Amino acid sequence: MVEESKQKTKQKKVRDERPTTLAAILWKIVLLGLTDAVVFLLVLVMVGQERFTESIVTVIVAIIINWIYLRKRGLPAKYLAPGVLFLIAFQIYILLFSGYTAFTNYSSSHNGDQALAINTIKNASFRVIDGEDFTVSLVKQNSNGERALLLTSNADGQVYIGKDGKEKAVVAPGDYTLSKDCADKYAEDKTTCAHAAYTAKGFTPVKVADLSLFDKNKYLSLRVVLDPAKSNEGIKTADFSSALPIETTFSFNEKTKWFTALIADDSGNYAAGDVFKPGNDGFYHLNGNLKAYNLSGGWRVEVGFKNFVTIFTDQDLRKPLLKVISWTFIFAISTVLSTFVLGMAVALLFNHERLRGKKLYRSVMILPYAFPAFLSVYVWAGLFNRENGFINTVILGQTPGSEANFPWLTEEGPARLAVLLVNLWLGFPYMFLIVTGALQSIPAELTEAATIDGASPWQSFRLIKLPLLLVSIAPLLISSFAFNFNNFTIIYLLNKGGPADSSVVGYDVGGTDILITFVYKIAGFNGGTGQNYGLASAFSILIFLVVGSLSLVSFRRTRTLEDIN
Amino acid sequence: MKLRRVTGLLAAAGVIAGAFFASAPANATTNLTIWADKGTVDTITARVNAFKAANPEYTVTLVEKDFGTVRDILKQSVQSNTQPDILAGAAHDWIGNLVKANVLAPIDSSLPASWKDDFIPGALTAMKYNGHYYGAPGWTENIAIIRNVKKAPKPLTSVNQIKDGELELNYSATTSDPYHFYPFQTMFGAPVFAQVASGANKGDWTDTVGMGGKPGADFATWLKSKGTKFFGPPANAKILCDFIKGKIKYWVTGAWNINAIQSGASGCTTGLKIGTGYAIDKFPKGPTGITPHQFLGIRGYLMIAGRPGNPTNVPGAVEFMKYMTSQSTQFSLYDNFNKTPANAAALNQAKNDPVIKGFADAANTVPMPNSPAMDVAWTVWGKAEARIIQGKEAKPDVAWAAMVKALQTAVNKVK
Repeated sequence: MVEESKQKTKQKKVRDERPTTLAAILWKIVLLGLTDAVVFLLVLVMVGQERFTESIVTVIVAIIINWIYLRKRGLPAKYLAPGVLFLIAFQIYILLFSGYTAFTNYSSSHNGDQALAINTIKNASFRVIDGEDFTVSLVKQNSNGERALLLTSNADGQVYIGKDGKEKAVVAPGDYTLSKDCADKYAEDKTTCAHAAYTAKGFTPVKVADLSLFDKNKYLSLRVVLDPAKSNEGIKTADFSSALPIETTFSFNEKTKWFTALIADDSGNYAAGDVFKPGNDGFYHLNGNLKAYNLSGGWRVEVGFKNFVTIFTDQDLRKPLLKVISWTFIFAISTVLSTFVLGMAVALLFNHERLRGKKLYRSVMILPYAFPAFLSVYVWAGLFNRENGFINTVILGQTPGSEANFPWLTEEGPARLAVLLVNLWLGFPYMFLIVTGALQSIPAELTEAATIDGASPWQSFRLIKLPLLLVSIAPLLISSFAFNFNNFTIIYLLNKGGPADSSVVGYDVGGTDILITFVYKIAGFNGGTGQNYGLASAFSILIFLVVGSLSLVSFRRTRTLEDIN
Repeated sequence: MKLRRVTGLLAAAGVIAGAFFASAPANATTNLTIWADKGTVDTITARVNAFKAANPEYTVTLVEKDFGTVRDILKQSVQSNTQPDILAGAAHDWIGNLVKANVLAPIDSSLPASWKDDFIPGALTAMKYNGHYYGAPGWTENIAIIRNVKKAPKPLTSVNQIKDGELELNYSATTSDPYHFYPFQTMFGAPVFAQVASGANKGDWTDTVGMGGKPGADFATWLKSKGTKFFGPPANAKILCDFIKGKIKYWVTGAWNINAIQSGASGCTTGLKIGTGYAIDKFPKGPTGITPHQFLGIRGYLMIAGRPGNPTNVPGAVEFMKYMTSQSTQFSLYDNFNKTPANAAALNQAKNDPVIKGFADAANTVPMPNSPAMDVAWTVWGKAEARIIQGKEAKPDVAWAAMVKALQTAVNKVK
C-alpha cells in the first residue's frame, strides 16, 4: 500500500519533470512577455489617471499569471487560469457589482461620488452681480512678474489694471495700446467695432496659448476687489476674454466638507451663514437635516434595503408591477406550451415512416430558428403595422392607410396576442428539433407492442411516447421557460414593450412589458431620463431569485419523471 | 550589473511613459471635444472646421453620438474622465436632468452683457436652470397656426372663430400631445408650472404645477366640449392631405411639416406655396381674450463639467460657443440647413425667408421648462388630456384636478 503510493508520487514527479521542448519555452516567453508588456502599459496609463486601486489589482493579477505559468508544477491551474480570469471579470464581477448597486441610490441625480457632487456645487457657487463688465487681456508686470488682468470696460472703453486682492486702477489713455482686433472677435462690422487694450506701460502681454495649466489656474483665481468690505465679491475672468463682477455664494471647508451660505437664497430656502452638511441620502442638507432643503448635486451612497422596500411598498409601483409580473408568467408559460405543442405536432408528423422528403421538410422547418431573431422580429413588426401592414391590408382585407384598421401593436390585448404569435413562430422550430431528436431514442418496439395490445394511436402517444418524451425534454422546457422569462429581444424589438399604459403615474410601462424590459426602462437605458440604476439592480436580483428558484424546484421535479423509466 | 542596467532602463521608460500619460489632463486646456448627434454633426461640421482654422491653438474633435442615448453615456463618461467639453445640438429641456447628474458646468461668469444681448428674448433663458446658464443657444423651434389662404383669407383673432371640422392637429389616443395643445391651454391662463413672480430669476419655471385651479378646470371643460369634432381624430395621418386639399382651414404644427406642405404627398400631389397657398399665423386669443403662448424649444451647446482632477476646457468651450452663436455662423446654419437662428441679428437677416419670419413672428419668449419635473409631466398630463378630448371623462374638471394632484406628487418624488 505504502509502496504503491510512493510509486505514484514518483510517477507524478517524473511526469512533471519531463523535458519541455524549445518551442514550448519560446511560446511561453513570447506569450508571457506580451501579457506583461500589456500589463505594464495598462499600469502606466492607470497611474497616469491616478487609478491606484485598479493598478494594484492589475499588478497582483499579473503576478499570479506569471507565477502559474513559470512554475513547473500545478498543471491544472495552467489550463484553468484563463477561463477563471474571464469568469471573474465578465460574470462574477458584474454579478457582485449589480448586487452592490441594488443597495445604493445610484441614479440620475446620484451620479458619481461625493467629490464630483462637491465639484458641481463649487462650480455653481457664484452669482453674477450688477455692474460693469470688461474685455480682458492677460498681462504680467515687468518689475515683479505679478499676474494681472488688463480690463477694458465694455460700457465706456475706460482701461484699468486689475491685480489680485486689490481694487482696479485706471490706466491713463497714453499708457496702454489698443489691440488691432475687435474686442468682439466675431463682430460683423470690423470697421466700427470696439477695440480693447492689449498691453499697458510697465506690463508684458501674455498669450493664453503659451500658458501652463498652473498659470491658467492662477489667472482664473485672480480676484479684483470691488468693495474692500466684501471679500466674496470681485471681478473675475472664467474664459480669459471677458471679466464680470461676481459674488461667491458658498464657501467650502475642505476639512469638514461642509458648505456655508455666504448670502441668502432668493427663494428664501436658506439664510446667509447657514451650514450645509452631507446627509446619508447623498445630498447636502441644511444643517444636515434630511428633511430640510438640499443643494442640487447628489452622490451615490449605500441605502441598505431601501430599493427593495420601494419595490414592495411603493403605491405607484404596485399596480404596474403586479401587471408586469402576471404578464411575464403568462408570456413565458404560454410561449413554452404553444411552442412545445406546435413543435411536437410537427415533429410527430414528420416522423412518419412512410413520409417522403423528410429531410427537406425538416430543414425548412428549422429556418425561422436559423434566421437571426432580431431581423425576423423587425419584419414581423412591419407586418403587424396598423395602417399599411401586410396582415391588415392583405390577409384581413382592410383599407390601406386607414386609422380604423385592427390595432395590432397599439392596444394591449392585440399587442399581447401579436407577441405570442411572433414568439410561437420563432420558438417552435427549437421544440421541433429537440422533439424530433428525442423521438429517435424511443424504441419502435414500444409503440409496436402498444399497437398489438390494441391501443389507439392517441393512446399510444399519450401513454407511451409523451411520458418518455417528457423525461428527456422536461429540463429543456424549464430552460425554455427561464429563457422566455427574460426574453428581452422579442418584447423590446417588436413593440418596445408598448403600447404605453395610460393609467400609470411615475413609471414608464407598457402593455407587453415583461419584468426584464420594465427593469430596462427603470434603468433608463431606453433613452428615458429617470435613470434609477439602484432600483433596477434590486429588480434584477429579484428576477434572478425567481428564475433561479423556479429552475431549482423544477429540476428536482424532473427526477420524479425519471422514475418512469 | 546587467540587472541594474535593465532596472535603470525600465525606470527611465516608466518615467517617460508616465510623464506622457500624466500630461494627458494638461492637454485638456488645448483639447476641445464636442459630442453631437447625427443631425447636428451634419449641420455644424463646416462651421466647426472653420473654427478650427481660425483657432489653431485648439485641437478640436467632433464626435458623433446617438441622440437617444447620449445623455446616458455622458453621465457615465464624467465618472470615467472621458467626457467631452461640449454637448452640441442638445435639447434645452435636458438641462435640469443633466445638472442634477453633476454633468454640466455654468458659464454665466463668461456671459458679458454684450453677448447676452445678442439673442432673441427667451433663447438664453432656456439655457438657465437654478439661476445659472449652462450653455449657449443654437437654433429654435416652435409651433404656429398654418392657415390655408384660399379657404381662410384672414388670420384668426379669436379661437371662437374656429368652427368644428376646420382645424386639425396630431395627437395620440393614449398620451395626447400636450405640446401641441399647450397654446389652447394657455388661452385659459393655465401654464404647466408656476413661474417665479419676482426677483433676479423672475419668469423662471418652478416645480409647482401651475395648471390647477379655475383656469385648468375651465380648459378641461372647454376641451371636452370641443372634443374630437373640433381637433380631429387622434393619430390622424390624413392631416397633410386634408390641409392641402382645403378640407380643413387650420393646422397646428411646426416648421418640420413645411417641406411636406410645399411639395405635397401621395394622394394630394400638388403642394401649396407660402403667401398664395398657406400662411403662418400667431395663435389667436382665447375665449375670454387671454393671449396664449406655445413652447419655445432651443437646441444648443452645453458646457460639460469634469471631475475635480480632470476639468473641461471652459475658456476653449466659451470661445467655441461665441463662434457658434455669432451672427455669421447662425445665419450660415439657417442658409445651409434651415435652422431658425437664436441670434437676433442673424434671425433678422434670415427673415427674408417668409417661413422663418412666419414662425419667428408667431413665437413668444416662453421656453419649455427644462426641469426634470417636465419629463414626468408629459405623460401624466397627456394621458388625462387624451381621455378628456375623446369624451371618456364625465366630469373633465374633476379629472383634470386629479391629474394636477397626481402630477405634483410625481414631481415631488423627482429629486
